Amino acid sequence: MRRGLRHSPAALAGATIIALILALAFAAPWLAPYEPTRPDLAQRLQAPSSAHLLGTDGLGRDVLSRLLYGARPTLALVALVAAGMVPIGLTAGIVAGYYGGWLERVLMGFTSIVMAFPRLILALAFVGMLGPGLINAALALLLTSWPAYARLARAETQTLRRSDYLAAAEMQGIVGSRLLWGHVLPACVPGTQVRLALDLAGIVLAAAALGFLGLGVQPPTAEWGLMIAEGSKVVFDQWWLAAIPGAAIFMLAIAFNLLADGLRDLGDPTHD
Amino acid sequence: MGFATSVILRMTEPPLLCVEGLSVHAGRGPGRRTLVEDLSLCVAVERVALVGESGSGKSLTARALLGLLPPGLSCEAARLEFAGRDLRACTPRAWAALRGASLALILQDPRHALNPALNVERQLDEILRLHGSLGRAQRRERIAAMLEAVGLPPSARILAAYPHELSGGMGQRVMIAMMLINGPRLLIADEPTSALDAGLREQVLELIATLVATRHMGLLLISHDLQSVARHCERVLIMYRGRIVDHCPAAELARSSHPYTRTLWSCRPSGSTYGTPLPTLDRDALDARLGR
Amino acid sequence: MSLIHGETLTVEFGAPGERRRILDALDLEVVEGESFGLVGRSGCGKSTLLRVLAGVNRTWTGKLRLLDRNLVPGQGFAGDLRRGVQMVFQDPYASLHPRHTVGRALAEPLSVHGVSGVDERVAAALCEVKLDPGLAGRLPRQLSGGQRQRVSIARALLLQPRLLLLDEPTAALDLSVQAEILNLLNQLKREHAMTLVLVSHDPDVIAHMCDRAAEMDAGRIVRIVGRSELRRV
Repeated sequence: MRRGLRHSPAALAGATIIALILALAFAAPWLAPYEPTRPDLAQRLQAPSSAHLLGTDGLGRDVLSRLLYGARPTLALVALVAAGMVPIGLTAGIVAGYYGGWLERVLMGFTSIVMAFPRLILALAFVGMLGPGLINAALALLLTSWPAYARLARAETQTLRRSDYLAAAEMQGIVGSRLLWGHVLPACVPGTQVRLALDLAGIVLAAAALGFLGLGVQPPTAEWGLMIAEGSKVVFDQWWLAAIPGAAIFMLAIAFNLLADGLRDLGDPTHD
Repeated sequence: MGFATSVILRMTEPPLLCVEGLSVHAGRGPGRRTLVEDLSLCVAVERVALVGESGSGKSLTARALLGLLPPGLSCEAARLEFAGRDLRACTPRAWAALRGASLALILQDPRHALNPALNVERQLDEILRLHGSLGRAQRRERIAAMLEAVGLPPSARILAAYPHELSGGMGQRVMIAMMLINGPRLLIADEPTSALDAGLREQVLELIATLVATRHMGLLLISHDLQSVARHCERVLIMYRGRIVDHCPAAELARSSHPYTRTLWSCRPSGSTYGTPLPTLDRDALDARLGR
Repeated sequence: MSLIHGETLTVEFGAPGERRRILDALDLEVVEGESFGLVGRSGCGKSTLLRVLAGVNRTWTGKLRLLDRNLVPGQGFAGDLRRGVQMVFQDPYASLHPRHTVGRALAEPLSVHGVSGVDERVAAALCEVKLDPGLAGRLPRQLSGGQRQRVSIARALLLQPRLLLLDEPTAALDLSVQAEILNLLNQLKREHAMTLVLVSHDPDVIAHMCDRAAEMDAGRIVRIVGRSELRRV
């Protein structure tokens, strides 16, 4: 599995784009020509020019600077969601799959309930209750996304239980948490990696959707979804204000898709 | 070249399969590994066994003969002929017409070779339709006759069974039926009994040998159990690390002077070997002898 | 001296009303120091019996006395009993964790039981099964079938068991490699004064390895075969 990203052009391309966007977001304070939130009403709605490479928005703010800074909330949100949903999902799934019985029924019943709701609607409801903002949006997406990992981990754990690995480990006296984290968890990793990369593409879009609806970070902070919302008001005359952040979101989502595709191929022993 | 020539001179019938200088490689360029080296053999209307340990290259040889090498492996041969036809020049379409019709392959585990989504009758029917133009009633007759020939009653229960519902022995019989139903001239059987219980192995090998004899076919039987194939084959070729190192008629195996053959023959456990260590291969000495 | 004494051992499964017995009121007696065989077709219950003796299958009922301890149904093995009973599985590829190196697979049971000098013991264990200690860094898929089975045997011996259970240990191996493994098992049995219980579908292996053997069918022991009869196999 660790054959290196070199062996899959898709994974390599995806990883490169993500790394690039990460680097640009990190280096935004040095690269951005202007302050992202500084309005300049005299320069409103300018087309791309040598002074403003990507033009200005409705409040005269430089689009390029906002684009670079705007990557940060999106990436932060994606990272928060990933860091939350994977541990929660895997823990629930492994515990359910290993111990079985009523614990499994309760946990899996819970995941079924959560999975029955469309993710975005449920996230909207959460944010509606908790109020808008980056942390709340991340929490909302996290709480609606962990069930898939629980299911995955449970299926892997159940397969493992039937195999001789666990019987052999038990005979060596390896039990309890050492067994679950040292032996069962590693078996869940390949499936989780692929699922995560694919999910993140969807999370990027969901985060942008929440931002578009004004439920993510609040103005004047730059955020791609928010920029699309603001740009959609003038989309017929200054089309680039909505198109450019849209293209950025598109690139990031595609990059995660490519990475997921490549990781799936790398993990598949029959793929050359 | 030496083995093949001497073997040809001893045969009275023209060979069905003739191979000279077959080599199988993995990879390209300087890192290329040779998995089968300069292999020559011939099979006429007779039963020939190819015996060796895992990793000796015997399964790869079988696959190369049928054009079924996995991607990443390549093969070349000075001569590769089946019934007078040059197999090296075969297009994929030509291969598809040959396999299942004139050339047949039985594999080790029927559960991996049979289509899990089709029942027995449909699998046999499919292969008949692929290679022939018999009418429905005729196909049904053939299927029933073939199942009886492999020792399975052609009952409704068997015909409707799916591969996972069959026991190991039954699954293997279905695979044999499937492969022989189109009347091939040559059967290659790659470890056909390794996945079966010891008790069933003799039965299945006996079945294969009988069918091959009554249908006037050639058989290339690949195995790692020398004593077992010796009972059912006329000639034995022994492979080690990609090369044929010995060949002899089955009747003379017990008296062979080649150290590898002698050890393979006598390493089988039994009631009389209790308490004594079994003969094992001295691989270093064998490698030295082969000049590696 | 009886190492294993089992009376009316029964293992059932299935929904109430449709219970099937894998082991059917089976009686078993194994003497310390002997090599005892269990032979029969697939599905006769021999592997299940072995797993009951291993403490892996705890759904049995009846009476079982193992290594001078009376066991209660459902009881897991711990301490001396856990260390004293070890098993070599049929398919080493399925019993060695694919993502753990050989070194880790051997070191883990030692550290769980608080044994010191782990590295030396791992190297010694590999030498004992005639493997190069340098293989400790490899993953199971990088080893041949015979090498993997040797690692499994090394792992089973690490905790110095009195009883070694073997579930078709050579079924997945070539005849020539099987000969090597059987020789190794006999040698290790002598050196470590162990009792072996060996399951196999191959009567030849049983006849070579065992002092006595039980023929099983449908969850019962049909008869016990002694050395004189095994000699004729």
